[in-house]
Amino acid sequence: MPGLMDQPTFEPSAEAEAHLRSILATVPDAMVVIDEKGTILSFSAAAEKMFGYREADVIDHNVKILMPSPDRERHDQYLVNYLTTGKRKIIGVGRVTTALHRDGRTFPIELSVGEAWLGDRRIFTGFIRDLTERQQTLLRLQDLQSELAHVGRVSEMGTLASSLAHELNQPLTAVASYCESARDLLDKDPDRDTLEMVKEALDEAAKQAIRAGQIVRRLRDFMSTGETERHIESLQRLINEANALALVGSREHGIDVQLNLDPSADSVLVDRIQIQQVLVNLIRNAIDAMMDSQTRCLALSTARDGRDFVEVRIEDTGTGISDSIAAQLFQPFVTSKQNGMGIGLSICRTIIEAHGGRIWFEPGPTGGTAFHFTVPSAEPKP
Amino acid sequence: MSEGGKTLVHLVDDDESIRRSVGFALRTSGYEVRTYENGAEILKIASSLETGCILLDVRMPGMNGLEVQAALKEKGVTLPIVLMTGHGDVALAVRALEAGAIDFIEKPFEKALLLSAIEHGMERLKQS
Repeated sequence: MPGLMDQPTFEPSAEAEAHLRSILATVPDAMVVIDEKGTILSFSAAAEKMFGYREADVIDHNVKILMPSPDRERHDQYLVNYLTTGKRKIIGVGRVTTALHRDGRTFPIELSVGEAWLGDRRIFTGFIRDLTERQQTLLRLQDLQSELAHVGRVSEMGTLASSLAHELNQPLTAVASYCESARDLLDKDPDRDTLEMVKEALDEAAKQAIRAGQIVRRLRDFMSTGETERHIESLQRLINEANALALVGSREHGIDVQLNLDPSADSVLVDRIQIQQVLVNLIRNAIDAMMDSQTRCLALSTARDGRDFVEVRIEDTGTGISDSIAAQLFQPFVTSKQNGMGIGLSICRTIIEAHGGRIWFEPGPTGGTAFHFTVPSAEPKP
Repeated sequence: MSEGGKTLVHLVDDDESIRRSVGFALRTSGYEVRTYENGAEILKIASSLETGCILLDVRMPGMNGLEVQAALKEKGVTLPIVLMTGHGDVALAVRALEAGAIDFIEKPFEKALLLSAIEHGMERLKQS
């Protein structure tokens, strides 16, 4: 059988290939194999289901058709970058990102990429898990978390002063009442019984003063347990993940996302969960603000801010913020939204300020709003 | 007025330290004092409430002072009401005044202020 002998040694036998295919057909993760140019070589059954394409539709097409902007335009360059520098951004790392269904809908995915050599041909295999369901659960969880954070933080920061004052007023009122009563009792040439009452009143007053001290101490303990858990994180990664979360179900509204991330401003020292909460909040606000606009462009950018900080900018092309709302925008319970609670931005401010950063906004260059915040940089000092 | 000719004060506050200390200040100043831990307690006996001044805390769990005031009014209680407010309750107190309260005093208060508010209330009661 000369034909068989002609086959290159790395090609699997028909039997082995059938076996492989049967395995692939049952793996729940979608699998897409591409070559060095990004051309699709294989598209698993799960991928067909996930993306809405038949394998025959996509074979020999560039894999970027499965991606929304901005990855769509940039994927060829990603490949070139890897092939020339060998620097792994995703291979062996895996990340949460966004995929594009045939019908134009986008959905969050977890993507891992493996690299393999078939003789002198290099191929990349993407394993894709649809996170829609998980993301919806996560989103719900995030909402719950925000609510909790609201209960926690608003009373922490917003109404803390008021409730603290109220609680302190109780023992102070008691101290004042006892002391004044004791003074007045001593005024009238006190007998033994009266002196006993005075003693009792002063005793009680002292106890109440101690109680006031305990309230202050409790507050101090409360504040110190509010320390955040900070690690060195990649801002690009935080932004990508927050984007995937915040943009769920919103790309069908035709929102164009532009990323402009400064690589020299990537490392930051932050509490990942908290900063993602800020990002998700600001991105969702930006999307909400653009629902009635003709142009819907969300621009995310980063830049160094002096030696010690990194600045993140989130710009929308929405309708802007009215002056009446603007002055108190970061206060709790102030909102311009129909269904808003007005707590998101006050939480954002609490988080950013706890990181030693600042958060502010200004009218965007195109009439929308640009939110800025700064977080501590973990880059080597220039 | 209670039996001994002393002015009676109904003191409603959820905080025991307030009931005890303000009660002490009033008793040693010649008042008779009855204390209630919450609005429900005084409302229970609203129909047989002895004449006197009601000293009512604004911020209480369950019914707040304003709600207690409204419920007392509904039950036909016309005794003068002096509200005790904490920090930040002033807006509430103003609403209480509009709803017919005699006076409000802010915690912590001077004893003289407390006594004059109660006296003011009792005078109003005599006039009506």
